[in-house]
Amino acid sequence: MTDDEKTLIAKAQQGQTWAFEKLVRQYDRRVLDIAMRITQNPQDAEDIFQEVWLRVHQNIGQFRYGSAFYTWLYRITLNTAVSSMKSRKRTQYRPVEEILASCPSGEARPDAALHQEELHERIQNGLDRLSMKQRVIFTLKHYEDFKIKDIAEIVSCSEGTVKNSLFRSAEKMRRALAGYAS
Amino acid sequence: MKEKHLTHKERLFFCLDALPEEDLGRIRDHLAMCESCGERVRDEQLWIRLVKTHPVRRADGEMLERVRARLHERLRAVRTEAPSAHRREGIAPFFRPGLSRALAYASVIFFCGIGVGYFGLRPFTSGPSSRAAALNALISRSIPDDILLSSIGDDPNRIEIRFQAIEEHVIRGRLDDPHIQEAVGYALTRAPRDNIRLAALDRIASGPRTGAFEKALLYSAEKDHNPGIRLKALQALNTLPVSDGIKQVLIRTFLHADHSGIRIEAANGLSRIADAGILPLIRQWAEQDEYAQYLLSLAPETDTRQNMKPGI
Repeated sequence: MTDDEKTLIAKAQQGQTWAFEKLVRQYDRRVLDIAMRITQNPQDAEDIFQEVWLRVHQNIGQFRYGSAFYTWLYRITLNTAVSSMKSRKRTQYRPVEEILASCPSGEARPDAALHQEELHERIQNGLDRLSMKQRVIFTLKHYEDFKIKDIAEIVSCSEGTVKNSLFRSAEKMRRALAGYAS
Repeated sequence: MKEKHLTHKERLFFCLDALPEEDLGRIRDHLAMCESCGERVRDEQLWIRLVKTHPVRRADGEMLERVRARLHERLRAVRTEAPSAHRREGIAPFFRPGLSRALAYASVIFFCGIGVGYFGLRPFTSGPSSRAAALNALISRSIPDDILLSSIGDDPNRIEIRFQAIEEHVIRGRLDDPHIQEAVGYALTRAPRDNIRLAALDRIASGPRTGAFEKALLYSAEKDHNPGIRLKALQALNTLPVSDGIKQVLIRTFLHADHSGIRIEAANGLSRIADAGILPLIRQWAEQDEYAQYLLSLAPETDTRQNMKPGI
């Protein structure tokens, strides 16, 4: 965490509106992106975005610089996203049968052409097969480029757990992309 | 001895750059020799690249702007409903509403005291004080441009933010930038805290002579509720070339100001103008005002003063 960011956080903790707005500007896209990737639903992502920043606004006084600000922020984001998904039960998980039906057989396609639409569907299928925790960790690693250590801190678990989760997610994603990723 | 092939986990974490440093060398050496493992690593990298580069479910700019606007409104509502919720929880006890108001009143009384007692002499000494030291410390720190620029704009919704930014940052900005000039003028005329207006005034007094600054000084000299700031604004105005605006403000201030020190400073300015219609008024007033007499007794002899002196 840079000195400028520490100053900004301290000012926000003192109730300086401009400082809080500045923090929002620094991180809002990342918060929205991660909410989108976890919920897979723009409306849910927007709601989570609002909820996250209101929580941050309410609790920023409790931030004690024990970790990086983004770690703290991501933890709030992920907790909000996960609890929101659980409570609303709005996750549009597709039935297993449907997922299986759309899964590739594993054989290479005759034309071998990679259509973006189909690829999108395959990746979506892969993501749908991940548990919530796996999806969170997968997203942090593959889309947010966090290091294992940081992910462990954000999701409050050991680095070994993160690695195991990534390994299992990779298995599922590889299966979803079988035939393409070879 | 034949070396073992890489495990699936080793291949994956090699691709994810998640291996400890001590393992990396060994794995690179193995990959350099083992075609089979190299092939498998390439497969691994392929699906990872497909996932990473796939633009799935990312917020677009329009969505981001929409949620920003919505958040801004919600935060405003939260602040309006509970303006200092987290302050009341002990985060910033010095800024609790009641105490803040009390400090504001104390500040006004303090400045009034200065005004009554010392205006004619040296209303603002240049000696060090904790407030001056704090302001100097603020001014000496560099600030990123984006913070400065984010405080500036025409959006009325951002006025509050702008106030806050002005308080701590704009006063340290570059006065050759018209945006900063505008914001400093804005701070002098609109910032709620005395010390910020005073700091802005100091910046203007030492800054370039511009129309925007003159307007801000005119407003401050006539309308600021703090007599100390009014006085200082008048002093700054009296160093500017005389304009109709300055003349009008000096006359109104001279006729209507409650504080002797302010009237004296206005009289100083007017005597500089040496307007035949105004001088008799000043003379008449000076005859009755002991502070004016005191000031005039200290003032250097000039033609204008000579015009006034016979009446005293």
